[in-house]
Amino acid sequence: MTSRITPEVQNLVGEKYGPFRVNVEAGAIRKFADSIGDPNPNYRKSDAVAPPTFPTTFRPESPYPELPADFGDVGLHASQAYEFDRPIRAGDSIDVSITISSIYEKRGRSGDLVFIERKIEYIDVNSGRRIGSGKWVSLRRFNK
Amino acid sequence: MESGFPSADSINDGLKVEDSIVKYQAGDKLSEIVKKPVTKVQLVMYAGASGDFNPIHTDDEAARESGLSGVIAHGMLSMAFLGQLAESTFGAGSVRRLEVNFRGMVNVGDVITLRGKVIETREDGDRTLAICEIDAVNPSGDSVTKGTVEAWMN
Repeated sequence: MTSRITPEVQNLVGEKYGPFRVNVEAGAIRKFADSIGDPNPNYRKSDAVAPPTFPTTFRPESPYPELPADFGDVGLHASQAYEFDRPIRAGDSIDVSITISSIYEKRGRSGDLVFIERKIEYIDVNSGRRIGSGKWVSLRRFNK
Repeated sequence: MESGFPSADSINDGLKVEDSIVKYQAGDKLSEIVKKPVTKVQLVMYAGASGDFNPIHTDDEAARESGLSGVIAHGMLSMAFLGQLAESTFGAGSVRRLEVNFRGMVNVGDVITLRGKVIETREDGDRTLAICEIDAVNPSGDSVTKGTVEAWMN
């Protein structure tokens, strides 16, 4: 069984993007809560806390290390995790960095699967302390 | 007066958020939340709010070119639903850790039911964590997004 993971792809492990800075705005939290259909009033104050999946809104604004576009037939989001040392709040200024932590493969029923796992770190710009971290795993399927 | 624009209220659930949190124990079920049907407008709103503009979530034609029958919801929307389950139970800002696997697609029109159960409580200093299994279930009864949440109860 040959590996789908070429040296070029393997070399992505350890690649880092960022840090890039985000400023958390109350209006952005409110719009996010609205889009989910979550009526919690605590997401709608000037000093709102952010819902736990809000860090998904912190998106790189330039190309970031990624599997080649033509790698595999289908791309899917496999799993996602967030961990918080404290809640994110409106007014926070956060440095976000994303590191490709591992690339591994499995044989699936519908084809070979290559997983790319990224660790994300959220640092409070004012205190220098970690606010939390994330794990983002996506996959590419090579159809049978 | 009708503005002609869908308001946030058109997709909110009208859920009441309690100020005081009930103390949960292992084995307790979380109050189930039945979401309103997922709409295309909601997917557009979520795309805008999250910054995920993958056209398979907002553009039927692009979705069909990808082999789908039409737009599907962002997996992260179903994870956000589970975040709602956790924080409507334990309070806004209570989540310490939320982790899910995406197992199935959510289609437009689907009513997603959110379920959870406390599997363990754990003391951490003077605070107590509830560790829960959580599940987003589609109208066929299939689990589309499943995982665990750890939330502070105090």
